[in-house]
Amino acid sequence: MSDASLSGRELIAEHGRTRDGLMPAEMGYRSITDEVAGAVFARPTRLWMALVGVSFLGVVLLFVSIWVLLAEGVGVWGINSDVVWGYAVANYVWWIGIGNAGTLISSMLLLTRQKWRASINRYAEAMTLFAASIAGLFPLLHVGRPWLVHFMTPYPNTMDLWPQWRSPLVWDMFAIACYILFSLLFWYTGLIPDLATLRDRAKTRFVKVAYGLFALGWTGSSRQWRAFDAYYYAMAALGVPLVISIHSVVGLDYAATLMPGWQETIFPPYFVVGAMFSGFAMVVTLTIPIRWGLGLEAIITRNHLDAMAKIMLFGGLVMTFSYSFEWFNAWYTGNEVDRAHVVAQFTGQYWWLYWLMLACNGAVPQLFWFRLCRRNLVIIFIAGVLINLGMWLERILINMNTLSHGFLPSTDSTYVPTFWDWSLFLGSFGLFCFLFFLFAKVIPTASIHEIRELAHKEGAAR
Amino acid sequence: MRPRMLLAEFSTADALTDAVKAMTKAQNGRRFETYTPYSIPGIEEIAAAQGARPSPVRTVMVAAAAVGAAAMFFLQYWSSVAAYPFNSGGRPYNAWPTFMLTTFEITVLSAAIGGFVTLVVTGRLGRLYNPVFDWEGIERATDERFMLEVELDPTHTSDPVVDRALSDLLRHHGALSVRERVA
Repeated sequence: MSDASLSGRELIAEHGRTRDGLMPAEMGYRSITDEVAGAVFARPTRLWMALVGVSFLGVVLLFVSIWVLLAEGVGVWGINSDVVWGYAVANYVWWIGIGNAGTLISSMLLLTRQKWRASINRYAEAMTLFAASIAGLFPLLHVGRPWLVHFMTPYPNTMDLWPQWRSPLVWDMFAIACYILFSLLFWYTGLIPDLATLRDRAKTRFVKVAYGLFALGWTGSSRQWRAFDAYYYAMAALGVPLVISIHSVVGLDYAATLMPGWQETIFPPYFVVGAMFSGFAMVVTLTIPIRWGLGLEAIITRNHLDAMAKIMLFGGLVMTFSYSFEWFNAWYTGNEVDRAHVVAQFTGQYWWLYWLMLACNGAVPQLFWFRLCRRNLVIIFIAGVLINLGMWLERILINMNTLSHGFLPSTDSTYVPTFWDWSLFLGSFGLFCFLFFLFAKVIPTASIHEIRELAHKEGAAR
Repeated sequence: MRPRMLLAEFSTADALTDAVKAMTKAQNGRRFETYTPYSIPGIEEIAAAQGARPSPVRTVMVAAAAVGAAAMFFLQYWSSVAAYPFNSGGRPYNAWPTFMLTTFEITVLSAAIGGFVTLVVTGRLGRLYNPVFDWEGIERATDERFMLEVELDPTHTSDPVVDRALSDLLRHHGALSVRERVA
């Protein structure tokens, strides 16, 4: 363990890159381990501590907001008797959408043998896990009495009550709970060999035991790899339909109602693509600071960002198509209420939010037709943030537009978010960042064993 | 009598695969195990040719999925038809199409949990100590070295000449070091 090895940047300077540009042309297994595990064992920088501190303030804000909510009731939010679904539901849909991309990246790209997946799947999966858990928090808070949430689960109780299995809201609870457990297993399994690497590299007894406990005694024997591969690929194959079912069920929460703008058969696939779109935008937004902050430029390259930008372009096109299909459908079916709904989207009290959403989700991704934009970090980062904003506006507007313009003009009303609406949203963001910063310091942000495999296939290591 | 073990260390995956191939050709029937930093398809092929059975992980996953699906469907059927029939606008109690989504989610989750348990059991995970950890330098098997462990005297009739031939063969195929010890 004493022999020094060159860093990724030095290796690129010396040997250039592999033909597809994914890693240095010569990169031994030791250099790969150093590159990724080194970031875990390095002393925390001031910047990292500052970021953890700031995001922890967000966590405090989240807990204060929850406390106020539980003490005062959901009346502290902007929801009213007409617009009954507000920020909490929109935030839930937005977060769970972001939580879908990690598993999609891992599963779909693994099954289609997209080799650029290896260095981004780990933190994309971590993002999934954190985002899905945070998403799960919002429905709990939205019901107003979270301490009674076990009423949703089927268990023999003294009231002789059982869940209403015909309701999408019950499907939703099962979908989210199964998805969180599934992503945890998928993520942890992929992590076991890397935890063993950290165990074997640890310098102090405490760190060794800590990683050793979670590495479950992994030796890297062919027997273990055989079981590992069988399980991991099977999980990837299961992950794709699962992710699609999750966000379809979220779409059904809306589509199974009778409200204009909601009862549309396009909702399940439209929600799935929207989730992929916002999820990839979030991965891109996280990738740029991660590769810079942890010095992983050698294994997370511009080619990775290029590939993700293409997926965002595709997502943007499908979203634009879905919006136009909604407008077309309202006109084509001739339903007066649906037509009035579309007119209200463009000209109602939230018109500027709707136009801003169309700009973010429809226009911004068109930049990625150009190779120059796909490879410019600043443009990709700003576009990623704007797409996230656009997708958040979409989730907000789905709730606000429909509920503000129902069937009866006398029930028309406007949703005005309160301080506690904003604080809960910002707080959830703080919790997400806090978990992510901790993760980046404790667990390898890229899958070391998969990058070794990639290096062998690419001829960078033998 | 405890078996004597041999550990050969290689710096590349290809050297390890070649050495294992040569060993199974020259001295078929040796019990061996490899320890590698990532999964190497070549070793899988040799192990399969030697009669190693495929991992039961997927069989268990299918079985767990079937059990999970049946249990979840039965729960919904029984609770809405027998335990708590709830007439909602005259819709049938056994509204099986609407039971399918939760059934699907639980099916996938059951397969995932069943497979993970099988991975832990068949991969002998969860035992934090393994005798192979007693080799000096074995920690490099999770980093950049490819290790081959061979049982030298499975029948307790050690033949030094055959053992020497094996260690020469491994060195010839690029082993950086070949060591022996009593397990």
